[in-house]
Amino acid sequence: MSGYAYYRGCLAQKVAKELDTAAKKVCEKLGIELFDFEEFGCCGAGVIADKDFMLNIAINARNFAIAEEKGLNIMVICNTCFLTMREANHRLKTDSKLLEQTNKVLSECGLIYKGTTKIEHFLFILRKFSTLGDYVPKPLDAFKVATFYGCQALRPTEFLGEEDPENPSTLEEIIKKMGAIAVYNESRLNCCGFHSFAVKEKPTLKLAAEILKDAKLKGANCVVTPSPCCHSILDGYQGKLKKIAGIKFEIPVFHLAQLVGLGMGLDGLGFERHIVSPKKLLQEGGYL
Amino acid sequence: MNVTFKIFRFDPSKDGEPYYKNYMLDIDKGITILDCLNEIKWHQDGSLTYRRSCRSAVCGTCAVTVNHHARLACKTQVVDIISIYNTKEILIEPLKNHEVIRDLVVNKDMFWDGLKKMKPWLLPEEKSVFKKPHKMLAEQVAELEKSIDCIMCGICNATCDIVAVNPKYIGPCALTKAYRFIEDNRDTCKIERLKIVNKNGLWDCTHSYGCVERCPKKVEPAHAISCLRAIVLEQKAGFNPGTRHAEIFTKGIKWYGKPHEVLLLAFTRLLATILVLPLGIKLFIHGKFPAMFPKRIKKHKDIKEIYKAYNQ
Repeated sequence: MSGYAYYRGCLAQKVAKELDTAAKKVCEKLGIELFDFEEFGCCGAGVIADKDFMLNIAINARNFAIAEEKGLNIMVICNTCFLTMREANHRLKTDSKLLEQTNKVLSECGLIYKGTTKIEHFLFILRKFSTLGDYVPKPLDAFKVATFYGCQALRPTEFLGEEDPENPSTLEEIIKKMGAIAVYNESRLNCCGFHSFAVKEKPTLKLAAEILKDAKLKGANCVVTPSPCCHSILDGYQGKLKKIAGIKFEIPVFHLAQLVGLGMGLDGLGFERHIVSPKKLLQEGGYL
Repeated sequence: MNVTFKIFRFDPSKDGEPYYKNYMLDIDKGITILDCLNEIKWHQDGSLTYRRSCRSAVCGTCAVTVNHHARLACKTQVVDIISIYNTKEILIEPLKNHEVIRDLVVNKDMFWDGLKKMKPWLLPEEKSVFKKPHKMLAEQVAELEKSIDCIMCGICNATCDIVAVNPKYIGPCALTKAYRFIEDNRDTCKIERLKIVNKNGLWDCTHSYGCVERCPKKVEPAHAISCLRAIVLEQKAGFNPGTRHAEIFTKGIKWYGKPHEVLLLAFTRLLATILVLPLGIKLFIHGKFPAMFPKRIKKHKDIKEIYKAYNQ
C-alpha cells in the first residue's frame, strides 16, 4: 500500500468540512493516495495531555498502530493534530519503557505499536512538490495573501522541526507557486488564541483581531492558514474582531488546501461555507 | 563583514517618541549581540543603554528582542541571526510585554510581582530541615531539574501572546516557578500554591509554545503548565472554565472517540454560553454547526479499554 493514512481531525469533520473536501481534491490531483480509517480517534488536542499524560500517549499510539498495521504514514490537515501526534510519537520512539507500557494497554485492543509510523502535515507534504506551479492553469494574481502559520505547525522544534520557526517560508513559497502575491505581515507567526477561546474569550479575540488588522494594513485582500483551528476564529469571529481592532475589514480567510485547489482550477472547494464570503474576491479575480 | 544594527532608542526624559538609530560594525565569527552592544556603547555612542552582567547565559540580565524574537544578547551569535534572516541588518529592541525605562532597559516590576505571588521559596515542615535530611528520589529530582534551571530572564513572558493581551495573566515564568515548588516533596504549601495558580491564569495559557521555543535554558514552561493543570485536575483543586473544559473534553473522547463540541462549550462556559448564540446561528446557516449527536468512531470499545487502563 502506498500513500497516506488520512487523519482529518475533529474540526474538519463538520465545522471545517470544506477543508476535508479541498484537501482530498488537491491530493487526488497530485496523485497522493489517501486511505480513510473510521476507527481513528481524536488525538486529544493537547487537552488530554493536560489531564493525563499516559492516556494521551495511549490514544495516539492506538492511531499510530492502526496506520502501521497497513504500512502507512499518517497525513494530518490540522496543526493541533500535527503537534499532538508528533509529540506523542517522539516520546514513544525515544522512551522504550513508555512504548512497552503503552503496548501493554494496546494489547487489550489487539494492537501493537512498533514505532515506525511517521506523522506528516499537508503543508509540508505540499512543499515536496517542486513542480506545484505546473498544476496552475490560471495564476491567482488577484490574491494578495497574508500568510498565517498557526503556532502548532512550527513550535516547538523538538517535536516538529520542519523549518526554522523564527523565519519560515513554506507557506509563502506555496502561495507564490499558485501565482498569488504573499504579503509580508509581522503577525504571521502570532497566536490566534484558539486553545483558550472556550475558557477565556476576550484575550483570544484581541490576539485574532491584531492578526487581521495587520493583514489589512499591509494591503492583503485575504488570509491563508494551514490550521482549521485558526480558520475557525479568524473567519467565524470576524464580526467581533472588527470592533476590537477598531478598523473596518472584511477579509476572506482560506484554508491552505482551498487556495491551492483554486490555483489548480478545482471546483467544489466549499467557499459557500465561509462566514466571511470570498465571493467578491473570487468574482473580481475571474475565478467564479 | 559589515553589519548594520538598527537599535530602538527612547529616553522618556527628552524624547517625545521612540526612534531607531543605525550603527555599523565590522563583524567576525564568534561575536555575540552583547559584544556588539558593548562595542557600540564604548566606541560609537555612550548614551546607548542596556543591561548586562555575566556574559555566560547564567544571570538572565541581557535579554533583548532581536529581529522580533526575544533572546539573551550574550548567547546570540551575530552570524546565526544573519543566517536565519539572510540579511545584514539586525533589529534590536527591548523585550516585548514590558514598559520601556530607557532604550533596551525595561521595567520588570510586574514580572517580579508575579513571581513573588508564587512564593518562590521552599516552605518545609517547621524545623524538619534542622532535624534530619529530607530524602528525594532521583526521579523526583529529575522531574524538577528543568524548572530549577530557570534564570528568570523574562524571555518566556516577553514571548507569550497571552501576557501581551491579558495583564491579569501571571505568565509562564511564575507558573513554572510554582510547579517547581508544588512538585518538591519537601514543600508543605501545595494546596495554597494550587489555589494561587488557579486564580492567576493557569488555564489562560493557549499552547502557543513560544516560551518553550525561546527559553535559553530549555526550561519548557508550557510543559510545567500542563503538569500543573494535571495536578489541579487530579486533586480536584478547582472548578472553573479551565477545569470544566479539560474534564468534558476527556469525557467526550471516552463517550464518542472524539470531543462533543456542543457540550464542550456549554459545560465550559455554563450560562455564558448564551453569548456565543449569534455565532451558533451563523454556523448553523453555513452548515457548520457541530453535531448534537456525534457518531461514535469505529471500534470505540478500544478507547473504553484504554480509558479503563488509566482509571479515567
